[in-house]
Amino acid sequence: MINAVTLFVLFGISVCIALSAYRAFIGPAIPDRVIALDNITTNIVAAIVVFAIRAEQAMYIDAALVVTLLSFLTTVSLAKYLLSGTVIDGTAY
Amino acid sequence: MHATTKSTTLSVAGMVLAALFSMRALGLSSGLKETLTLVFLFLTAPVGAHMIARTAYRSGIPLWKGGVIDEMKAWQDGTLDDPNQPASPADPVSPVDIDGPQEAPAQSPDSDQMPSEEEVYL
Repeated sequence: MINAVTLFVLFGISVCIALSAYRAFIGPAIPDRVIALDNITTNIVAAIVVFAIRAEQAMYIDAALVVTLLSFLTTVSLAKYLLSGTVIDGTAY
Repeated sequence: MHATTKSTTLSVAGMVLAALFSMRALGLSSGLKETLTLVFLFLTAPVGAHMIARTAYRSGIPLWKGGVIDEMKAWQDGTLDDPNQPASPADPVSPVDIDGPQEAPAQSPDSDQMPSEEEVYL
């Protein structure tokens, strides 16, 4: 039962990743691509968590935690780079 | 902002909650790391969405064509707290603007009272 449910959920998550990759590919502006890539990493977190439930291994949650923090770091640094041209410039916006 | 906030805080939070209950039911984990993942998702997703939305607005990305109001425009022009000033600076050679600044210095030495805010502003 849980195997079928998690397999279906993983299929749905991969469809979402494919749609986000399409948006990241055709996105008319750079923030669209950034949002699409952030969405892909969020979906990867969801896939890791669902796979942890499926495999009954608790250590996949650590990978999900790390990917969450990396996703936030990527989004913030890309936003600051697009806004000011540099990532670390000492000014608080 | 919907794409980065709603999907994260609703669907992924639900999946992480499912993992928390599953791991606790199986006796594999104490649920601390799942809770930590949930907290970080709730903390970081709105911040990232706001930063990327503000970046998109400031870099001149056009808004959605169905939008009817742009409240950030007054803030960008600096006319948020001054509704008398037009949003875009009008041409200074219009006759209404010519009469105003020429009268204001002529009246201010004659009157002993303090100049009003409009004269100071002009």
